[in-house]
Amino acid sequence: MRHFLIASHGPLSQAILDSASLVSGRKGEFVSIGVEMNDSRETVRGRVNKALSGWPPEDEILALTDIIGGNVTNILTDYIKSRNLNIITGVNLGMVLEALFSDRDIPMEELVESIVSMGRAGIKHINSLLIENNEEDAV
Amino acid sequence: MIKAFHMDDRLIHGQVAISWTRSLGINLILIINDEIVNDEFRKMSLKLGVPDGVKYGFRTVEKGIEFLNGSDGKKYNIMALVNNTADALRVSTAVPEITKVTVGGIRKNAPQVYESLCLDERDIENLKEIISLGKPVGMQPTPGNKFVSLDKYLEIPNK
Repeated sequence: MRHFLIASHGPLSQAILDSASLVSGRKGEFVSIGVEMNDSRETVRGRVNKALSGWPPEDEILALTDIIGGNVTNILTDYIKSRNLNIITGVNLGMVLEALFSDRDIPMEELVESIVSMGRAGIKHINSLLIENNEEDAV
Repeated sequence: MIKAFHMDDRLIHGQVAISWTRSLGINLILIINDEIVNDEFRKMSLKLGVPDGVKYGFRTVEKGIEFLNGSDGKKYNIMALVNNTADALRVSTAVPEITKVTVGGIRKNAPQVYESLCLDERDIENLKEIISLGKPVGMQPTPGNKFVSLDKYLEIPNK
């Protein structure tokens, strides 16, 4: 089995799942963790433990987190030693949708690659694209 | 082949660009509209929403019907988009391969008959005519949502 976890400071993680649900019409497939200003390291660990403990130890987990170096990213990183866990930082809506629509049978390395490239490809300067006005995909 | 015929005043937007194309393996998004064909800026901005690996085309209603009925229509997995009921009626009447109309929504100053769907009396007549061709019309903003037939919502709304 493969499980998905979205983790962030504050409401971003749940909100991005709500937004993904609006776009995709799908919900309830991913778990979110939000960390508040006053949460101690232990509180956050408790929340992570609670999310992970529902899944068998050998199951694959992919976590998308808000920012590298952030508290929840750092805490999740500890779990790489004990769980079959991959973490990707810098989550955006395109990445969540890519994960949601991904084939659950593709190898984890491929999935990670496709989500990272989707995340990068989604960052564009619209004004520059309008000037380029590339028409190679027009029919 | 025509995989989806969809009516939404936003034409290409997140639900179409991501959810419909991914779920149905769409490789051509065809926008059918008489005004947009001549609006270069609108065309540029709409095509920014087309995902990598998916082609797009802009056609007038007349040319769109020709495209869908011709040999080009067989070469692609097509999602055809219109943004109003009059065009939906013209296209679905003229293209036998279209078997149903999915609706994302139309937001405008007219009575609301369903969430995200505002229709005036003319729109209701147009949609009823499509249904009378044996082509169901239903709300379905994404393939993940159930197709909700509009039959019972198409009575003339109270004013």
